[in-house]
Amino acid sequence: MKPSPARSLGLALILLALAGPLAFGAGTDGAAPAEGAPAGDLPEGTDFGSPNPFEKGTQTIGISAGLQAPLFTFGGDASTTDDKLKLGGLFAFQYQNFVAPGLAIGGTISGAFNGTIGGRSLFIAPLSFRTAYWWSFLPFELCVGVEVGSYLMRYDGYGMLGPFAKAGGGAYWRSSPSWSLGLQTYYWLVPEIHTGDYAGLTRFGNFLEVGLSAVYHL
Amino acid sequence: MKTFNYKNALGLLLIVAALSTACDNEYGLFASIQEEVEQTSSKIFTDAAVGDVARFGTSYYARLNHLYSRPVSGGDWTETSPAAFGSNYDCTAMAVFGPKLYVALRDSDSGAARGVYALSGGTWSAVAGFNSLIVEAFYPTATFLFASVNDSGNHILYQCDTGDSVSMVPDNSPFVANTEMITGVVYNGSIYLASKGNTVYSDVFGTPTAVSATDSAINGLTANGATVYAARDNGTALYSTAWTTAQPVNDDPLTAISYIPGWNGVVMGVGNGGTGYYETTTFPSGITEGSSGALATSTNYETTLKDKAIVKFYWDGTDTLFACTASGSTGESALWSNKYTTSWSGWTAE
Repeated sequence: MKPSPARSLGLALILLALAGPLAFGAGTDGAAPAEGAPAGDLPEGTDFGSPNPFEKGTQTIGISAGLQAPLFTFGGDASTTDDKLKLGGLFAFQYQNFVAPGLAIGGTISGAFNGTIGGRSLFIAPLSFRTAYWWSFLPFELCVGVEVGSYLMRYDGYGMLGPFAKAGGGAYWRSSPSWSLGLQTYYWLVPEIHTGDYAGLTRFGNFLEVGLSAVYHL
Repeated sequence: MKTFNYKNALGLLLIVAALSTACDNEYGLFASIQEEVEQTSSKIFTDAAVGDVARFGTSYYARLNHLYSRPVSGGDWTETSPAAFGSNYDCTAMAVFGPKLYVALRDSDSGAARGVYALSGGTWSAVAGFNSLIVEAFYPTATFLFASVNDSGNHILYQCDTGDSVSMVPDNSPFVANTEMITGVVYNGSIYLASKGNTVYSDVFGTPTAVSATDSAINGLTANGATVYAARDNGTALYSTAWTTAQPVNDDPLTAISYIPGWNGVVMGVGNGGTGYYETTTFPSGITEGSSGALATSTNYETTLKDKAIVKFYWDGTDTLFACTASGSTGESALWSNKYTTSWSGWTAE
């Protein structure tokens, strides 16, 4: 089945629809407002526990879904930087552990798919280690992150493994003590390395991830 | 302190080994994608059956049940419905011969002959000699337009000259009282050759003589000067240098064959049950499947005509090769083109 922006958006909406009720309903029962915590538009009685929820030892898990925009492809003996890919979709699962106030390490497993102009599809599944820094401006949160790892890529029955890196960040709204919802964007670098007589096949794929994310604070 | 766990290490090793088998250093994924050609097929040809393609003047024409055209320079295909054709008709054959485009019609309701019309100077005119004949196929040559005519199950060869004078081939021809499909007529520079059933005949106008091996049906003919090539149902090809020696190509029927002057090569299409096409510029040697990259890159071939049943090739005489394919999977185009300048552009769905 060929991926399409409509399907990608649909997947994103489904995931967020699943996360939304949890995000808006969790962690508010009987809790009293914390001293110093901004109330904003949050439900009355929302308790964040601390003005800065990203203290050492805090953990989060997140899911995200969105669009995967191909940017360009270069390297090797390529005569063009046209990637010949269509707008695609992605999903990701993420874990973070804060090792210092605001500083988290963790990992992400993602899956991204793009249709090609010839009617085929490209699938990239990176597994990456993550370092991120979070700022809290309750009820809003910002983060920047860098990830490195490796990917498994499939196209037309062929596969490839290689190194992977991405960098970017997101802006979130802390809807409850347990949930943050937001938008995130990351730049992906996907090097496809070939060696020896086939070094000319080496290419560096470049993508832009734009997605919706739901983060659960454990 | 944790001790080294050999089971975990072995598991990790197996996972790495399994993933490594998925890699192919000789195949570039991004590089192959960059070779793809955008497929923007017209819905006219989606799930359709294209019988003929022809270049006439500044337009290409394609024959389905009706006639469609587009400018050679590009643009959309649109139906051409001349008032002279009337209504309730099917186009059964089409060819360019001399300065005219010929189209044969039959009644779509009764199946009766509706004659042949020729386009010249922007005007469609009936060709009187074909009025009561049901033309199944045209075979244009430099001097004659040959037509296979279906007369109550008999397949009879007719000829039409540049003055639109139509007549049957000589009475002694095996192409007169004939129950076998006529599959090709070509001119080799001195005589005309034609095929029906399992046999290629030479000298259609003189003393027709069976010249080829007869152990498989002939599905098509093409000529390069004095050399004539034949595609056969058993997946082999013949050529006039050794008419009785089969040249193996594929295990499935060869349903189309065409010599392409601009490229100086022969392309052979494989029909149902087969895959794509075979190509060579050094017939009978060097015959390889389309993925070998002569007419298109392997990626382009594999994303376009590979695994499709080829019905017919048409070289437009200038720079473009067309391939008509049988209806395959739902949503696929039945007409493809490939343009040659200094190299082939790759197959694109029309």
